[in-house]
Amino acid sequence: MINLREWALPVYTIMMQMAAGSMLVLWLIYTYVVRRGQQTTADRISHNSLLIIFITAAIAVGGSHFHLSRPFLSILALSNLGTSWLSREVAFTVAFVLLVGLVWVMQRYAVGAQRLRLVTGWLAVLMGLATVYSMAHVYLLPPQVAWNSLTTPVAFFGATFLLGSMAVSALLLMNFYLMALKNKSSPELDPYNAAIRPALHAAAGGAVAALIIELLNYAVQISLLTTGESSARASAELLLGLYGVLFVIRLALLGLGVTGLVVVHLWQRQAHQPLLRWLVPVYSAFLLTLVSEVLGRFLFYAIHVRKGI
Amino acid sequence: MPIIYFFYGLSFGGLGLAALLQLRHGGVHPLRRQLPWLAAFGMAYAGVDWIDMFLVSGLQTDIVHILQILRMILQPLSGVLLLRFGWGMLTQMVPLPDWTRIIPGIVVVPLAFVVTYAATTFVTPSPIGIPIDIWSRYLLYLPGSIMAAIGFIRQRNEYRAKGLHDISRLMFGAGLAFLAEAIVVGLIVPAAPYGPASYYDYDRVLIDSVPIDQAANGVPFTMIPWLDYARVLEFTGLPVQFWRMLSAIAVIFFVVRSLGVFDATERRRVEKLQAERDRAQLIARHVAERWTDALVTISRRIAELDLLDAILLEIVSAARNLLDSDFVAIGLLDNDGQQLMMVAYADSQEGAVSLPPSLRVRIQTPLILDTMRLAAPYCSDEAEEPAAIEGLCYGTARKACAAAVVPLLLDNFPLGALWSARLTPTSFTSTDLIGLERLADQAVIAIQHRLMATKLQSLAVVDERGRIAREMHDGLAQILGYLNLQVQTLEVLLKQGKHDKLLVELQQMRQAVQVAHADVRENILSLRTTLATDAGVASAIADYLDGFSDQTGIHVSFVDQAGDDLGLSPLAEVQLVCILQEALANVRKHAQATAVTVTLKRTDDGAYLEINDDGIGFTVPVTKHHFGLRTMLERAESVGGQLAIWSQLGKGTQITCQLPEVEKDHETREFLPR
Repeated sequence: MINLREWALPVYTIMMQMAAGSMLVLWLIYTYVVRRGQQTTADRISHNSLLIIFITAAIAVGGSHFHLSRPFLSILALSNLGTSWLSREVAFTVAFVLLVGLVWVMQRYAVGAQRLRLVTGWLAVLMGLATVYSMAHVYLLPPQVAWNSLTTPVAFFGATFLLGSMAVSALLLMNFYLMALKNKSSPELDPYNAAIRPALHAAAGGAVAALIIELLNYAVQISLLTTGESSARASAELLLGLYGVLFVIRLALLGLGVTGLVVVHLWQRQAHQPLLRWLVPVYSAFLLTLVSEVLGRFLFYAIHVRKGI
Repeated sequence: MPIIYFFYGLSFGGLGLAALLQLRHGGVHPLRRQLPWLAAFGMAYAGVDWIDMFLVSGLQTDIVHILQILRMILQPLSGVLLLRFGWGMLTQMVPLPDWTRIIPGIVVVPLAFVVTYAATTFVTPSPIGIPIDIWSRYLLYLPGSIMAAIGFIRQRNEYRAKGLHDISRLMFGAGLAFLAEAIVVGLIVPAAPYGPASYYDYDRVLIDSVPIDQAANGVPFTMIPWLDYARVLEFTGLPVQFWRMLSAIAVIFFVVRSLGVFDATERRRVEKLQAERDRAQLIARHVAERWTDALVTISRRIAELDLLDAILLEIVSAARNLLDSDFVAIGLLDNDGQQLMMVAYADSQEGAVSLPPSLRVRIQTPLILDTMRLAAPYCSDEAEEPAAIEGLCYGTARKACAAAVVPLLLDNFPLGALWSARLTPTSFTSTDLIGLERLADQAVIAIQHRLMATKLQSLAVVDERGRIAREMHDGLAQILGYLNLQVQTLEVLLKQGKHDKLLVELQQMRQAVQVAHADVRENILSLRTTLATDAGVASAIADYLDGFSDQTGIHVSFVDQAGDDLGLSPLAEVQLVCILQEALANVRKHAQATAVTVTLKRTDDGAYLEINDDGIGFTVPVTKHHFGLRTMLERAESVGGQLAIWSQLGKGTQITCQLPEVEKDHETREFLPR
């Protein structure tokens, strides 16, 4: 992992999982707000976030090409859809990116009925989750003992939900900040304020749940590795030995990020602070969590020890 | 090699020192607020370079360890200082646009990846000092220098927009110097077995198949460096330290020079502003003096009860000169208060003109009438519809392009309006409007004085009528009553045939008629004596004394030492003549004098009148309540003067009267009992 070229994989997996998770959380919030009859508010709070998710996924797709020896032949990756999880991952990724882009265009130019937009969004969410599932399956390789267990899909989905919750919290606040910059009048921002505040609380709850899943998953993974065969033990030694410091930092940052977000939420709920006061703490928590997840992905790739030839 | 590091450190130490000296030098450029960070960076970075100098000199191991630890602390610290300087340059010099606020939100994801990647490089076999050096450069020096460069280039745009091209060029130079520093200090790093300064040669990786335990043992990786020190030396033939030295010298030159030029420019600008301010003050003083002179002249003419038309003429003339107007006019409401009539105007062709009642022009311009009605001054601006003001130059076909109109208000009631117009589109300023209002105030005061004078005149007439009525009641009426009784007596005596007694009564009647005749003639003389001529008071007194002497046969000597001007107010002049008439009436009636001497002279305090007779005199206390004497005293006091009477039985009477000059008249009135 000292070679930058190898970093194309963490960049791709992390950013795709973050995009898929963000789309899931955003669309849950969107559906909730639409169900309350606030179509315009739902569109306004989600529009910029959709664009950012689209850009994130597109960068992830572009970044993944750096891992290929012949990037211009990447289209061939789709040739084994029936048998290869990698082909399926690529197909779902492309579908996800296109569907997110389509939802954004439908919102931007008011194309199609509101129900169609909602359904398209959920289809994009489905493609995102399918991408993460396929991505996890790519690593379920019997020779790679450290990867070949249920802990891999759990870790991927945990990262997806955690990064999605944190990123959407930050995106909603950034979007609100931009609206406040354009429109200084507080009463006109009230509907968005009312919609975003409960969404942020729900996202914080989701982040805590994802954190618990990730921590439990690590416990299971370490247990499996330390009690497994020689290559598994070698992976455990790498994780707790050579990369032990990074692992501790990874856990510390994860705990710090999520705990920071929870503390901010509790403080804000108690003190009823204006929404814009959340921006810096939530963004800081998101940054800590993201660094932690990238570090976790680095460790994921770094500790694998191939069994046999 | 150590000598290179010495000069390398010296250049950055010089940067820090130059920044410090600029700080001590003072100045107003906002860049100075950021200089402490630059100075601290230069010093800290020089420290790093000099530590390198000692490290390559071959010192003892213990000292080397200490120096390495010190270097690992000092280098990121210097990077933080440069980052702070760059941040200050970028955000605190020229306000950033709103959209830049979302940049931190955008860079958060790539930053997370970079930070994580940086963290992973610390677990490679290379010494820990190397990743600290590399990431201090990539994460601190590079963004710090780039932000400083952007800050300087934005400054350059600011100064270019202001036309300060010298400073603009130097700021651009400083920006380029920081960009160069970003490359040679922030981007060129020591060789390391990881990117981004090195990259894998994949072909060789495949051939060599370096196993992971080999990497752990420190066997060189198959990596190709492309941005390290060796590449710079290979490419340029000079070590990177030389280029860094050059970049530091360029930064020193451009920063110090731009601050110097800025200070010099600022000094020149301040001097120019001061000169402009002095000139403006001089002009303002001159203008103020002209206004003051004009207002004082008008006030004096008002105090002297000059003719109203003449005062109004003075006002329009002064307004035209002071406001540099092409046309100024004043209009007054007629007696019915229905129509506004232009009574005087001044223009560049005819000068100041006062219009007699028959030639006065009726003003129908809505703008003037509205200004008067609304009791609010008006001043046109450049956005004004020209049709609203172009007809203000009455009597001419010229169209006004700028105008100012002020109402004449007396106790909030409109009396008329004063307006000024220019034929060029140079609007009147608020100061002009204030000046015009002051002139309008003077016009109102003149009108008010005129009204008061008329009222006073009416009161004087009433007063005079009362006096004549009293005189007739005391004199003529009693004599006529007496004559009526005498005629009845004569009738009885005639019927009774008592001719002797009849003759005696007739004799008495004749004397009574003579007295009555003298009174009537004296009253007629008094009434005929007027000051409404240009001859002056002394001349009127001389005429009156001649008449008095002719009527009474009393010899009157008039000593005139006053000249043409007594310096009295018109009211005081009237009172002076009345006092003289009263005194001479008393002489005729009571003094049995044969000669009277009247002396009139101008003194330092005003006018002095002295009346001496050679009559029988009287005892002053006895006659203190004499009606005539009291009237004289009251007349003198009413204009702030004094009156004294000296008399002794058999030795005649002397009356002296001192009346004050116009100005002193006002001052004295302030102290009179009310």
